[in-house]
Amino acid sequence: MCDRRRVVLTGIGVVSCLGATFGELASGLVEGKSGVRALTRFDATRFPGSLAAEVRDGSFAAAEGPYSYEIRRAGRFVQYAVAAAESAVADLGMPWRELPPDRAGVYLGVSTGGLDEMEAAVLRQEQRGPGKISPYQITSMLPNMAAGLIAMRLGCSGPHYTFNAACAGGTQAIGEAMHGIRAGRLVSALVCGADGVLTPIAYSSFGAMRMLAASADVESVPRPFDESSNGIVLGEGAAAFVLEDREHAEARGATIYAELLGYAATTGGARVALQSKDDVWRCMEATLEDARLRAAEVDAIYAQAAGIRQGDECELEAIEAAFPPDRMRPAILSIKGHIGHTFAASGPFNVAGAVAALRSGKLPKTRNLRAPLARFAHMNFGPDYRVPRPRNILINTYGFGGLNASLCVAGARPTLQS
Amino acid sequence: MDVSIQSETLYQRTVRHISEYLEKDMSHLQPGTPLNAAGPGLDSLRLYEMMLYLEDCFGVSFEESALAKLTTVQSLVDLIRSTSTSRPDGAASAGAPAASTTEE
Repeated sequence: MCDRRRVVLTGIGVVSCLGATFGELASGLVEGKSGVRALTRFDATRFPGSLAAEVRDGSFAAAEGPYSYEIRRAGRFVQYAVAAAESAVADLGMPWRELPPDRAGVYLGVSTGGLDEMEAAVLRQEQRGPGKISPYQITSMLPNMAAGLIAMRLGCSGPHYTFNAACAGGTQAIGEAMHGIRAGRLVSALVCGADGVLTPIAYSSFGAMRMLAASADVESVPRPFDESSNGIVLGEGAAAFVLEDREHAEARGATIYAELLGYAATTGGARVALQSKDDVWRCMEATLEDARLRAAEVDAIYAQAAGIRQGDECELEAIEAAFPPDRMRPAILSIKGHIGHTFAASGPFNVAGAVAALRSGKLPKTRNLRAPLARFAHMNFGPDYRVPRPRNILINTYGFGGLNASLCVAGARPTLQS
Repeated sequence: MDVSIQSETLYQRTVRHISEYLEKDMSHLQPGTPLNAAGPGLDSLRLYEMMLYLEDCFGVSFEESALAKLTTVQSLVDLIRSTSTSRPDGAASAGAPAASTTEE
């Protein structure tokens, strides 16, 4: 008999550059599709990089209902988050309102919130004066608006939390919600990572850091783990899940997509915008300890690797240190070649990708990886991963400001009878 | 230009712009309809935002003190009329150079 509550995923919803359904994302990853295109939202040709993995307008929509106007009026991250959350709830197999409202929470990770709305407002104010600022300006850009609007629409009377934690925000949201269920405070939680920061300031700022992939060839960037990696491609979207106490899910006969086994978050980095090997290693070790897994039991790692050489190398050094030499596992991959860097949504998108692989048995290839970084060429990058069928998958995310967060997900293993 | 728009009254034009802002037909509004949730469905934030939209539509700038006195659709039309006629350029057509909005 398990000595702690188990936490499972019983609903999935996504808004991505590969489509606004979990099925489209899952098949797109395995088929090696890419959402990277020339940016259409504004003229980006004056910036060092002008590519993006954009969510297509019209591919998603939040249902009409309470706060519909405020959602349409808010930053894109809110629109993506609400639409993904609604898909996840619709996937639950029961009305959300039948869950205990005071024991159902909303946990959401986001990086910069409504940066798109903020930039537009600054321009408007400078061009037309302070009297032309909308009374919805504040609520359109607050990072907590996505979680708040989701919770209010769902009728949650339990807590809602926002993890404003750069690229680790979505991972932290999932992990902390898992702890809430394990502790018995919650029966279920809507968890989500969302970001929509394809804005001029984002392009100039990442350009200033020399982080943008300069190539105009949409078919070849970004290149995680590759000797010729030359930067990131900005992405956007949201991935949402319903987490549920396993006993509750089983009692109602829910479809269980996967089990969330472990989570850890640590602080530490080599610099403010670069992780450190030791802190990444420590985070993975702590996650495995929480998951009660040995390193040798991890079949695959959905890495943070975004196509920035220093960061990719650092993560691989940590993986090399944390996992014993083995010709088979773990398989190491990144999905940022498919969907770009989605910032706070990157962890949740990795979870969605991992769930798809656990169910289908097929791990996606790291897109655009042709010649692995020479120092790490012995590691299991595929394209033939030599892992028969993944059962346990580790997910890594790191954020500016010394954020490290990892999750471990497993297939929907049967409950052991006592 | 649509003849019906050319000849519309200030009242009709105001209701047309309210409909544009709310993205739904509001032609049922009456002069005495209150400008709140019971009327066009406006809470205070949406009312203030709609006034920004109407400022752009009519090429005017409303005084903050005047906004507090808004009660009905007719009071809004009256405010637009008085604000337009008090402009130095006497923009009688209230910001629509190509249209001839009649006073009614």
